[in-house]
Amino acid sequence: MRKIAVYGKGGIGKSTLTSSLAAAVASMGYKVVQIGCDPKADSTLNLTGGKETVPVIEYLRQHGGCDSLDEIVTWGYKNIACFEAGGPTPGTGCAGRGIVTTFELLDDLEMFETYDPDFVFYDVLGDVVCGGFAMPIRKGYAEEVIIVTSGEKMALFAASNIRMAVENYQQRNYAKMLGVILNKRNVENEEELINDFVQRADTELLGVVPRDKNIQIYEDRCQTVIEGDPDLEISKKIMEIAGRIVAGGKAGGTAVPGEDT
Amino acid sequence: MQVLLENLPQYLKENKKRLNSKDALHYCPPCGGGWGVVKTAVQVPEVQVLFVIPIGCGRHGAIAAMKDGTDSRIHYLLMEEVDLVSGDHLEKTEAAVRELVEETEAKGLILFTTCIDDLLGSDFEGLIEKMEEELQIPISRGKMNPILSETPRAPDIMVHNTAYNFLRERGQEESAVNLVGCLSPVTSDSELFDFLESGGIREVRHMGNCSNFDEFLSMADSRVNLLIRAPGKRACRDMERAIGLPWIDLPASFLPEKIDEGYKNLSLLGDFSYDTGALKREAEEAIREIRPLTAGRTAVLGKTVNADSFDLALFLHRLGFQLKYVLAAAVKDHEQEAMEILRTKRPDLPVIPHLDPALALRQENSEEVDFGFGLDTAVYFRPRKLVLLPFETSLFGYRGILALLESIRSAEPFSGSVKDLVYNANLVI
Amino acid sequence: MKGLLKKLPPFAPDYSGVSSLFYTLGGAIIINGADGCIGNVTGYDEPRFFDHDSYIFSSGLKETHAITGDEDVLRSKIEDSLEKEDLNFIVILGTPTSAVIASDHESVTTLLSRGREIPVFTVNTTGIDCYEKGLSRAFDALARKADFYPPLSEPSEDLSVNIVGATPLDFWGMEQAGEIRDSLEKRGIRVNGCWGMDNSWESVRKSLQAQMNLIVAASALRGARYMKKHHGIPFICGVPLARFAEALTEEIRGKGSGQPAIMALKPGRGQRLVLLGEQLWSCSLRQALLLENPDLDIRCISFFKQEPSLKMEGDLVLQEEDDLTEYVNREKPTLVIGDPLYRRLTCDTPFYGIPHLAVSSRLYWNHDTPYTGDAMDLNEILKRL
Ligand SMILES: Nc1ncnc2c1ncn2[C@@H]1O[C@H](COP(=O)(O)OP(=O)(O)O)[C@@H](O)[C@H]1O
Ligand SMILES: [Mg+2]
Repeated sequence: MRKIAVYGKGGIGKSTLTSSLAAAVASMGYKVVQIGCDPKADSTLNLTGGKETVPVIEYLRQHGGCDSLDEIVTWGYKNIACFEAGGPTPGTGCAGRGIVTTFELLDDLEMFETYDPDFVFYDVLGDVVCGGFAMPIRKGYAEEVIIVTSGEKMALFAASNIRMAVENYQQRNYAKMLGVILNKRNVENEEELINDFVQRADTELLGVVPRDKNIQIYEDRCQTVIEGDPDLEISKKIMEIAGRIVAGGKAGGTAVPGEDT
Repeated sequence: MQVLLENLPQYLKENKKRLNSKDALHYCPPCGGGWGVVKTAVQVPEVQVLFVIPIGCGRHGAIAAMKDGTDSRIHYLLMEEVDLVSGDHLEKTEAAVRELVEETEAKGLILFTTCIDDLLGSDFEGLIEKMEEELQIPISRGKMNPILSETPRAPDIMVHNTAYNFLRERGQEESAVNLVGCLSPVTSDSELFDFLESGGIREVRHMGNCSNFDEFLSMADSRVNLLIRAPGKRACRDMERAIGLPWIDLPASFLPEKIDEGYKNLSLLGDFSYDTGALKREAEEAIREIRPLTAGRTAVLGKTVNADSFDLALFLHRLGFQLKYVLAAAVKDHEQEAMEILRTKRPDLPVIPHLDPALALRQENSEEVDFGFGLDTAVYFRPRKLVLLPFETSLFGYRGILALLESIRSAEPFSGSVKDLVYNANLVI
Repeated sequence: MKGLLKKLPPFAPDYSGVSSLFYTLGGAIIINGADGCIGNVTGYDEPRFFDHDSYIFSSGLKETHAITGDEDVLRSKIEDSLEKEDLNFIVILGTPTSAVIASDHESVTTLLSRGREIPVFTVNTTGIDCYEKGLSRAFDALARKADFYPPLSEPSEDLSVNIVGATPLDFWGMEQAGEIRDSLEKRGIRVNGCWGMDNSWESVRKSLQAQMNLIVAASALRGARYMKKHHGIPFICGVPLARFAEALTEEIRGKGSGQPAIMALKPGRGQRLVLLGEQLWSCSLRQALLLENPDLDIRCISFFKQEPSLKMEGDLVLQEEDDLTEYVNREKPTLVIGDPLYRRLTCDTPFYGIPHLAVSSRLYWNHDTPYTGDAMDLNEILKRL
């Protein structure tokens, strides 16, 4: 089982790319789980065809406890198990803890044992790096981290914060960097900026996703481009990156489904 | 708000079996407490206990420990406001752990954190791993985090895990078993010990009876964990997973049919020549004999008793008591059946959630009853006779029934100071 | 090391302090936190729990509400749970949990105030600070409740004072407060009210009728200053005890030497005595002892905050447990007086124990020897010198 956390600044395209990558990996025949760790709770909408997954925190708030995975899971495209942590209404509460609570509940309900997934994707808001938001890269959770960024200043700032958090934890043998995905915003010198960041961060570039209007077109239908039309250029790009992730980050190649990676 | 037993199921559904409404304030008088995590954890011999806390969290446990004389092994590292933001207390914790390990001859260390670090998401697991390696001493994480009370990770449940986390390597000792989940060891007069011995099990271990850390660690070698009280269930499951130590459900109960069932479960372990039949008849006989004293007498069952509320309530009902109220926190899985039976017999029985805010007003116009079970009944009612069932005494089996009947028979008219009674019990909320 | 308690218990937290001031005033006290927080107050810091109506509640804060924000939940819980009629006020206190999630208690009190005749307010506590900080805020909050005071509460003609600061956390028993009251009354000073113990909402509301506030704990100073500034009520500091009661009442009568009685006598150069306790109490005891023996070199030290203007040479605040041990090893006092638990830190130095509830909680709160008023017997101390 491989557990991968996708971090990045809000609005950078984490959920879009995580869902697309999850869909791509699932379409290779792997069993996939995606867990949205953003109080917005919209991580998996493009996998579930727009069906809203009840956020774990919302469920707990209403029912006090939860006895079964069935209550909180939504099955999405290619049987991807979708969860949303959820969180507070803005301005109150403690969103970081919401992630911890969600993870503990999934543990208690033996999610990993029950679904036995090949890949688990955590889609994590990376603007804040207080304890709770770092939870996905703690021991026992994601072992690998992907940072999604554009060449924009704020996106890169968040990216280097996340890099630092991973670095901090690495001394404790937690998650390692898998690589960076450039989700283009078409700012000047974008590739250069990214290459520079990748180098400083001592990691590698997993791929470049161009801006593509098809993403919105299928988003309006609550689909990823992988589901919508796998033959699109953008879909092929994402498949390529997915292939690289499956191969463990090393350049190129698509692993054979079912084999232990 | 109190609820009649007949209305309970709906209520239970909404609240996931806990009785205290999630929509009400909680009334938390000193009689409503229990052992707390400190008293439970400090039973592990020769370990030092360090709490990393804001000042407001540690007082009750510290003072209670002083009264119990266990405070020399309990220490507190106070968090400051800035720690909440900076996370600096993690580094301070490392220093404090070093200091304690150097100054004491600790065989192990329990590191407790609070709700705060739950919310902050502080990485104590990483810290523990690092310190274990550096200091070559086992460290177990504990949590005194009442924001999780009444959940599957409630502190009174997880504290058992905290203790048993020290057990690492499993040996083989066919003639030993562990008692898990009961705070204090089962009273030594219980026939449980005779029963076990008749099957060659001579060593019955409980963490409260271990005189040193090695003896405690030898619990890992025992053949099986006997789960006496529900809060230990998670620890049993985790020990099974972690070190392959199996467990058997053997709930302490006052209901003969459940006691029977327990012994039946136990028989699967091997051949036990001890026949519980004679003792069962003795208990049944004693139940018949006591009826003139109990039939028609009014009684209230409190929450502060070392028993499962509905299990004991059904037992008292069968003794002929006219139960007026039951104070309870939850209906646990294994007392569901007893609750259902009681519900058909006494649909009108009012159940009061033990933290109900209305209890604050009850002291003023307290109602007189013949018998109170549990010291909290003396606070909210005026029991003529009081039966205590303290946490320090874990009754078990038919001898448990006999002991309870004896304390009913010998109960004195209660006239003492409620205040002294409560403070001497030294409870922690 | 700093912040590590190996011998002493954690002291009473700020919310215990606030609760203790409002306890007997007939309102509802709500502590917004998990049930463990309030357990410290009800079981360990409030000796009046069983002797007085206790209308104090925990919000029973749960994890899910901490995550999603708890203000609405808190408000509706308070609205639905308080069944008692004729409450005088509702006060909401914070805990470490509510501090971390930054619960907005002000907004809750604003909403609860609507349509209510009684004051609904919050005192900012976090459970991270000690009791005296909470108390200070509480005295101040009470002093600021201008709407508490009936418009016609003109100062009375007779010589009368409010005793301000006599909470159980410093004076632990009704007897101690009673002694303070007695020693004033027997000298012809009327006690108009007592903030902290032995009082009622009614008497607090009539506070402005007194000519003067007698401040018996340093934590009450902030509130006293407010009342002086805004209501023109002057204050005097000190706890009447042993022969110092006379000096203090002279000051109240306006016949003092012009300087505060509590600082009148300077310590001598003789045997060294260390008083560990609440600052105003120990400073008063110092004066009383100096009246018996002016040579004594008496120092008031404390783990709690001290008012700088009342400090004398050698007075100091200790930060850490180890500081006390180092202090006695360095200063070699003849006798240390303080809460019996401090004895754990004073090595072989002769020790005379006088309980301080904020330190030792219920361990000694039944102790009924008077350490205030004329009844305080200094011989017990003097004979140890
Ligand atoms: N490569 C892209 N091309 C076009 N639109 C994109 C691209 N990546 C993301 N978007 C759009 O940006 C918006 C924000 O993306 P989203 O995945 O929700 O961000 P995040 O999860 O990081 O907050 C979405 O409406 C998405 O359709
Ligand atoms: Mg998103």
